[in-house]
Amino acid sequence: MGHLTPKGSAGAKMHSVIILEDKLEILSRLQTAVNETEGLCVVGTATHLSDGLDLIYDKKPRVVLVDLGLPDGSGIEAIRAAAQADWPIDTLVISIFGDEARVVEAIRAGAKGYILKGGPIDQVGADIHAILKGGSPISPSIARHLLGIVTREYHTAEIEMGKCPLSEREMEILNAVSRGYKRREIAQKLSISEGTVGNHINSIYRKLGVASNLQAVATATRMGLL
Amino acid sequence: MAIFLTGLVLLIMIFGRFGNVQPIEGTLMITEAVLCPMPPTTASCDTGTPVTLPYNIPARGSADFHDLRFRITAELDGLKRPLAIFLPRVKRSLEITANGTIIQALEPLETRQWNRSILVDINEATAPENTIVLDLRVQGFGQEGLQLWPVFLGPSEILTARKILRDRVAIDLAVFAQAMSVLLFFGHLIVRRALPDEEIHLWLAASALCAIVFLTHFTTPVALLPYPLWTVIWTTMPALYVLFLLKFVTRFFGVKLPMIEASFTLLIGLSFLYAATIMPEGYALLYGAALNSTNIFFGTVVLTTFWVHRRNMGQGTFVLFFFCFCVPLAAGMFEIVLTLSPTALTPLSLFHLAPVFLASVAIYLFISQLITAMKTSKARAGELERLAEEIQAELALSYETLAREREKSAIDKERSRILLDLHDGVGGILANTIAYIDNHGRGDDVIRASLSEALRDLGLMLDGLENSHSLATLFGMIRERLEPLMNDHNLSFDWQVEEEPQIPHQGPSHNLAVARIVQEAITNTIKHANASSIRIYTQQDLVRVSDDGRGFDVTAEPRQGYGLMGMRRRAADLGIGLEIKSGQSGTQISLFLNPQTV
Repeated sequence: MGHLTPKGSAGAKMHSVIILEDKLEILSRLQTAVNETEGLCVVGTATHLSDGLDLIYDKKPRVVLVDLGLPDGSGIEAIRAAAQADWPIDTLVISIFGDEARVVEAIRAGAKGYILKGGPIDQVGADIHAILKGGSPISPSIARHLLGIVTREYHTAEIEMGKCPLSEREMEILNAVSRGYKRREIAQKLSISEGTVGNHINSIYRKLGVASNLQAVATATRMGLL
Repeated sequence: MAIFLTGLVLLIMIFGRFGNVQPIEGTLMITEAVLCPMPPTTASCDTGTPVTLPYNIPARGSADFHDLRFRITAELDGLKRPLAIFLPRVKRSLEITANGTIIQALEPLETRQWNRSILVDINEATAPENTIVLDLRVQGFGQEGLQLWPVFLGPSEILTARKILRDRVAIDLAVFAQAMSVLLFFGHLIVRRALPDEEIHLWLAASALCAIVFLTHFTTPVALLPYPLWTVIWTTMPALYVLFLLKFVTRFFGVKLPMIEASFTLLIGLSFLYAATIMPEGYALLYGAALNSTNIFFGTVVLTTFWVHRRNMGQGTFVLFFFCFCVPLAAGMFEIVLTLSPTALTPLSLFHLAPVFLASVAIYLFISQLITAMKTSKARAGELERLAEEIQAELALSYETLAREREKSAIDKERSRILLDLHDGVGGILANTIAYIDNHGRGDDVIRASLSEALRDLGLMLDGLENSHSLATLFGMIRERLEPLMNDHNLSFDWQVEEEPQIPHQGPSHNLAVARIVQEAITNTIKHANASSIRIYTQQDLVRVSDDGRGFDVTAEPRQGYGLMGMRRRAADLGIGLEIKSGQSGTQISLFLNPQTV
């Protein structure tokens, strides 16, 4: 909750970061890791949703890291609030495991991706930079569920007729990710660059997330399918 | 064939002369009489002309009136008394005088029931002697002729029985036929009203109406209209009857004979108009005979139609229909012969049998249609019942599915809650504790490693629950969790997960068990193998984890921590095969998922 002074070289463009996390030790680790990353600086932290929301409007940060299970509500609320903001802002979910159900829900609400707090936290800063550059992370589990959404919502015939929102290449990539392949391997296999794979994944998120198929995802979530 | 059969029946009727007079045992059949000159006197008969009975003046076109007197003298020896006199048929009115006493008075010609036999009892007083003198005065129309059939004298008892029998056949049968026709007329009309598409019932009703009209001639002594109109009408009816039957038959078989039908209709219509208006008096009966002789042709058309389409109906039905149409045709022909013949063939007219046979056809038609309808209805009911059962079964199935879905939904909901609790609760605490150690440098490496392992295991459990349908994805998640650890040990994956492995019984716990075996194999490699690469390879029925490490002695006593026993136990529980090969070039652990290939 304390305000910290940005650290890093004055010349580089600094991205202001707000962290919403109720586990203090994790919060502290995240804060350290972010502040130690060049170009990132934590401008505020909160352990409760209400404080976090105030902080967002108060600080107008570039990046918000949100834990979903806050004591006084779901971090989804903060993601929604940020999605309504009138300044450039990206939200990332802080997840222990990157478990797909809640991550997909968060993406639906407008999150750009997720970062893991269960693994080595030192990497968080690099992950944030990667996401800001457009490389949303995706786990096999999330890919599997996105595939599930596609096959549930669109019948085989429709997919064959080209009505599927995802392109053939995007489906191919989702399939590979769901079987545990990494971006680098997929890029090699498809003879494309890793960046292109990342772009495809972003495109998949966009198509199945907030933009186009919100209703389908919402329905699926309500039915307990996700 | 039709002509042959008709001809056969006709011949049988003519030669058999069905209903002809035969001697009756115990009675006297008198076939000889004296035709007395007119005007009659008691004495005049002595100079009369002897004649043989039956005496016949054939029907001819004339308005003449016949009035003849016959004398019969008979010996009553051996005849059981009381006596009676019986005449099977008289054309047309008769007065009987026995020994000078009138015992039967003349009846008016118009109201005399033409086909009724005559039986008169003779009093003891009238014939006290052994000899009896009978004077029979017979009157008749020129147009229908005059007939006196053999006279029977005998016991009243025997002759009464004979009269009843003869009148039964001649009149009561006609009444029966008329009653049947009335019922069929209304029956067909009702059916036609209920089923407007069934045109055949209209024509059958019309034919029944014709039968009702002409049978009136056989059943009632009174003419419904003045002569000759009534005769013209009733004699026209058989022709109309055949016309309607022709219409019935053609529609029944879907045959089109418009020319024949039209010419027949025209013939009947014109003949009737002629007979009812400008025909000279006394020709009515001849007109009828002439008109109805055309029935030979049109009736044959009906029979031929039946014959041609005999394959369209059951054999039994065909035989019945054919027979029931042949007999009336023959009866009709016989009636014409009877009317026109110069000699008296038989005192019994049988034409009224025609409607009985044809009515049988109609009744058969009704019954067979009823049976068909009932069968169809029964079959439909069965079909409906089967359908209802099917729908019920489907419904039950969908209820079951719904119940399963509900149950699944409830389970999913509960699972989600538990996952969330584990995630935010245990997971959060573990992650927070690890962060604490990292933040403050407290605790030792063993504790941190254990906590990290516990967190990883929790992650694996959650993954297993979340990905109960895909082992490939679960392996992918294992990779996701273990890759940082692998990086720490300078290990990399050679990922070959192309095919989705299929275990015998999929489900969260089974998948998790397989995942644990794979994870155990990977962590063993990380900890002990000193390898640089771990290859994960899958087929539908195979999961293989292999490394390029230093291997170990598979036969040696399992050391604590290797977890090989745990892997073997899990594989056995799952019913899948586990094979461990190890050598200098590395270790290869294979899971054979299809029990047959083990």
